[in-house]
Amino acid sequence: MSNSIFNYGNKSYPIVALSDVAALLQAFSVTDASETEFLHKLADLGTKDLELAITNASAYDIATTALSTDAIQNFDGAAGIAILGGETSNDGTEYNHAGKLDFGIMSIQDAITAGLACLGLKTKQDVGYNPTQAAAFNQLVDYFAGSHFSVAQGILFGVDGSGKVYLPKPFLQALSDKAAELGLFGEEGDDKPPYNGIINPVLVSSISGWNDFVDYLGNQILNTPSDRGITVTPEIVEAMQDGLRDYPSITQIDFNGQTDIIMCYLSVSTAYPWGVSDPADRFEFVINVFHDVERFRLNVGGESDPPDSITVANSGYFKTPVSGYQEAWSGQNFNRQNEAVDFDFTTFNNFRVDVSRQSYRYVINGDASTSTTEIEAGQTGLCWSRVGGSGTFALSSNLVTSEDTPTGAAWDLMEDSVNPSTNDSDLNSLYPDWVTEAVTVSEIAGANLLSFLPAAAYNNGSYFYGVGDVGDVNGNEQAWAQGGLNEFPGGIRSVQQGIQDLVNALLGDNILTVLGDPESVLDWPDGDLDDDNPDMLDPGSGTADIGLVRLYSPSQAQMQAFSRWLWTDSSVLDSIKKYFQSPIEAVVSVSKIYAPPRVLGSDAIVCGYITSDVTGVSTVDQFTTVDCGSLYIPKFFNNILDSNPYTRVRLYLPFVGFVDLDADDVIGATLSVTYGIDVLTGICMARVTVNKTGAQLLYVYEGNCSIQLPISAGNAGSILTASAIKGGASIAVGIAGAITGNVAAIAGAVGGAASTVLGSKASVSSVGSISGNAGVFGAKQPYVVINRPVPAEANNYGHFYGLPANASIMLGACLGYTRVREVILDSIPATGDELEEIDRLLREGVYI
Amino acid sequence: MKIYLCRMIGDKRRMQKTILNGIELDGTLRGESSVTNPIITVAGEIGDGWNYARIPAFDNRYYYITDRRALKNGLYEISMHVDVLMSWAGQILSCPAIVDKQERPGVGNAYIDDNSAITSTLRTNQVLKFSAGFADRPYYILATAGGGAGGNNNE
Repeated sequence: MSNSIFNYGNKSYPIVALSDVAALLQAFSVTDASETEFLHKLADLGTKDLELAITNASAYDIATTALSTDAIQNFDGAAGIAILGGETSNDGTEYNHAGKLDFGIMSIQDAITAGLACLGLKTKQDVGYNPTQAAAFNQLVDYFAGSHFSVAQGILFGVDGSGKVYLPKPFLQALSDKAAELGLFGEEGDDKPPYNGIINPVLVSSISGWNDFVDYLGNQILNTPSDRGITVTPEIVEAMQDGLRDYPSITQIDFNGQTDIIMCYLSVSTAYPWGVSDPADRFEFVINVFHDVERFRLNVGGESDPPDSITVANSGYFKTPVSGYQEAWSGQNFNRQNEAVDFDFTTFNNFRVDVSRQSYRYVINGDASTSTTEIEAGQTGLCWSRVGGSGTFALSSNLVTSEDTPTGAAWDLMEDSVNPSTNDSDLNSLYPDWVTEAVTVSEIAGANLLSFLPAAAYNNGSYFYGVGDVGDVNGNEQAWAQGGLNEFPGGIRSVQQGIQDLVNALLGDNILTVLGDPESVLDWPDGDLDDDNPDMLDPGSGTADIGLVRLYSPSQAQMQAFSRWLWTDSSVLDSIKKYFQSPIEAVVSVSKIYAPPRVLGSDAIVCGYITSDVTGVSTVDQFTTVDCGSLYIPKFFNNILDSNPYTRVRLYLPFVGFVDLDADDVIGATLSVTYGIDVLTGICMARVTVNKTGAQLLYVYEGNCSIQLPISAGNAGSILTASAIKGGASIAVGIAGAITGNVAAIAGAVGGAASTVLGSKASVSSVGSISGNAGVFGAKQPYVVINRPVPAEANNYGHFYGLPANASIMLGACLGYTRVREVILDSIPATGDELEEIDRLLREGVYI
Repeated sequence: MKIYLCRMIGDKRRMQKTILNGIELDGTLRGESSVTNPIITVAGEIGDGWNYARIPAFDNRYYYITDRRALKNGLYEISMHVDVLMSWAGQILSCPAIVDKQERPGVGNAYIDDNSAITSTLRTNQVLKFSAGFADRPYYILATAGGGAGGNNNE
C-alpha cells in the first residue's frame, strides 16, 4: 500500500520517509522489529500531536538513504514523519551536525502556527490567546490534529545549510483553505490584517524631529535625539523584549507624520530574552527603513562580554527570501557602547540584524541617515509575524512592504493568494517566487515529488525542541505549555541522547501521567512476558520413530516411478513376490501437503518386506512447522475507535479459516503466526502470538492441511469409510497371505488407524472452517482484515461536548470546553452557595 | 456603594467573559440583599444594554443583572445574581480536578470509552497480509508400513 502522498481534499495522510533506519532502530533498542513496524511505532508517537523531524547530514535525497522501499510501501500509518538530512548550521562550528542525526518535536499547534505565519496570519500567541480568535485557531488544530486528520506534518530543517524551516506545501495549501473557510483572512481591500489588535504599530504624527519613540502598545514615550538618530536605551530594549514574550515587538518611528523606521524585534531564541548564557542564544531584530537609506549606524554593545558576531541579512524586496547573509562584524572591538559600525545600505531598505549574545544585556544604538527623498505619508502596510515561543521563524522577506509597495499591498497580495473566493488557492501560481524556493524531496517509492516551502527559519535546529515560553496576553505562562509533550529539552543532543529523550518524553512516566494512563500508577508487567508463556513442546519424531511406519516425501517423478513399480511387472519373480506380499497393502497413505516436511535423510521406498527400486527418496519426520512471520496491526484513530467494539479484527489462517481477534488485544501489537503440522495426518495447529507489551500466546486454532490421494480402489474406499465412521475402529484391509499375513494385518491396522485420523480432518474455528482440499484454494499466507468504523462526529464536537479526558489536573491546564467529575474547591474563599454553584457549573461544563 | 454596569458578551458558561465598557453608579443595597443575589437601588435611568455588573465592595464580584424595576423618583432597583465563574476565575483555575471532558486533545486518555464516540453505519476494511505462509507447491507425503525399528532414522 503506497501512502507516500499527502492527498489533501481526500483526507489522506502525509508522506512518510525515514533515513538511517538502522541507527534509529539501534537507538530504540528495536532489534527484532521490521522496518514497517518501526515506522508504525514512530507514527504512533507522531499522532500524539507531535512533530518529529530528523535530519541526517548525508541524506539530501531520501530515496537514496531511506529505509527499504517495501517498508515505505507497506506503511499505512496515519501520521507522517518527514526526515531529511542536511547541515543544520550555517556557521560550521556550534551546530555542525555533519554525519549526525538530529531531531526535534513540534506540536501540531506549532506546525499550524508556523503555517499561519507563512500565510501572513497571526501566530498561536496572537491568535490562540486572542479571545476573539482562539476558537478559530482551535478549529484549525482540531481540523489538522483531530481524528479525521491524525497528521503530524512533516517539517524539514537543516536541508540547505541555512537553517531554514520548510513546511510541506500540501499542508500550507490545506491550511490556507481552512483558514479562509474560518474567516481568518480579511476581505479584499483591507489595508491590514483583520486581527490587528496585537500587531498594530502606533503612529506618532505631526511631531517635528525625532521627538517621540512609541512602542507598539503606545506605552513608551521617550525622548530621542533630534539629530535624526535614534538611541534605543536599555529600558526600551527591555520594554520591547517584555512585549516580545508574547507578540512581535514592533516599534514604529514617524517623522513628520511619515513612517520612517520600524524596528521589529523578531526573536530572542530562548524563552526569556536575557540573562541566558548559552552562546547559541541570539538576539534578532529587523529594521525596516521607509526611506532610501544611505547609511545606518548600528552600535551593539554588551555590559559584560562582546557579542560574537553581528550578521546583517538583507531581506531585499518583497517576497524575496532572506539570503546573502552579510557578516558585518565579528569578534573584537565591539564590546562597548557607542563604538558604532557603519553599514552601508544604499541599496537596502529592509534588513535583519542578528546579534549573537553572550552578554548579559545588549544595548543597541541605531543611527540612520537618510536621503532627502520624500515619501508619502502613511506608508505603512507592514506585517510581521512571529512564530512559536522559543521556536521563532521570522517571515521577514515574504511580508515586508518596501517603499515600492503601496499601502496595504502586501496584505492584499497575501489575501489574494490564499482566499478561495478570489482565486483557486493555487500556491504555485499565487506565490511563484515562494514556490521557487521550495525543497523538493526526491521521488519515494514511485510517489510524486513532494515540495516543502521555506518558512525562513532561524538557523538553530534546537528551536524544534518544544514550545517553550508560551505566554498569554498578560505575559503569564500557560500551564499546559510547561509540561508534558511540549516540554522537551532543548539544545543539541547526540543521536542516542536525542532519541532517548524522545522516548522518555513520549513514553515516560510524565506523559503517561498526563495522559492518565493506568500504567503510570499501577504495577503493570514490565512488558517482558515471554517467560510466562506456555512452552510449545516438540512432539518428537512420532510414528516413524517406532519403526511401524515410514514417511517419505518423494518428488513427483519419484511418485511416478513408485507407481510404475507397484503396477508394472518387471519380471516373473518380481511379480510373484508382489503377488504374495501385496506391497500396495503396505502403503498407509499418500497425501499432498503445503508445508515443507522436515527431511531426515533419503532412502529407497520400502513397502512391507519389499524394497522398491525407487531410491533417493527423502525420508521425513512426522512433524514440521511453518513460520508465517509477523505483522504489525496499526492504530488508526489513536483513540477509543481503535478498540473493540468499534474496530473489529479478523484473521484468516490458511487451512483454518477466518477467526475473530479481539481488537483490544491486537491493535497496536505485532502478531506472529506459526503452525505445528503433523504431516502424516495433516492436522495442524495455528498458534497466534501477540506482542504488545511482550510476546503472549493468546490464540490457538486447529485445522487440517493435507489432501489425501487414493492409492487404489480399496485404499480409497477405506479412506472414505474411515471418514464416515469418524474415529471408529480401524478398518482392516487385509489380504492375509501365508507369508505376509502378519505384516498385512499390521499394515491394515496401521493403515486403518491412519485413515481414521485422516478422515476426521478436525477443524476448530469460531468463524468458519476450511481445511484439507478446500484450504488448497484459499490463501496460503495469513492475513488480517481490519474493519474500522467511520467517525461521524459533528464539526467542532469537542468544542461543544469535549473529548474524553479522565485526567487529574489543575483546571488551569485545561482550555476550552471542560467538564469535571470531581473538583476540590477548598482554596476559594466564596460563600457556601457560591461554592455549590461553582461545583455544579463545573460538572455541567464550562469554557476555560 | 459603587457599582459598575456594563455589557457582557458571550456564553454564561465561559470562565472569562468579554466585557464592554460600562458606567459607574452609586447604589444602595436593599436591606435584605445577599452577596450572591443583591438588590441595589440606583438613581438614574438604566438602559437596556447593561446586563452585567461588578461591585468592588463585594470583593469585586461580577453579577448578572437578572431584573430591574423602575421605582418612583427616578430610582431603579436592580436585581443581580453572582457570576461565580468570573468572580472566582483565578481561584477556580488553581483547583485540582478530575476532568471528565476536555476540548483540547491530548489532555486525557483518548482510549477511555465513555460511549461518546459517534460513528456512521459505514465501515472500512483494511487487509494486511503476513510476510510468509504455506508453500505454493505441494509436497507429497508417502506413508508405508514396515521398515523395522528405527523407522525413518536411517541416517
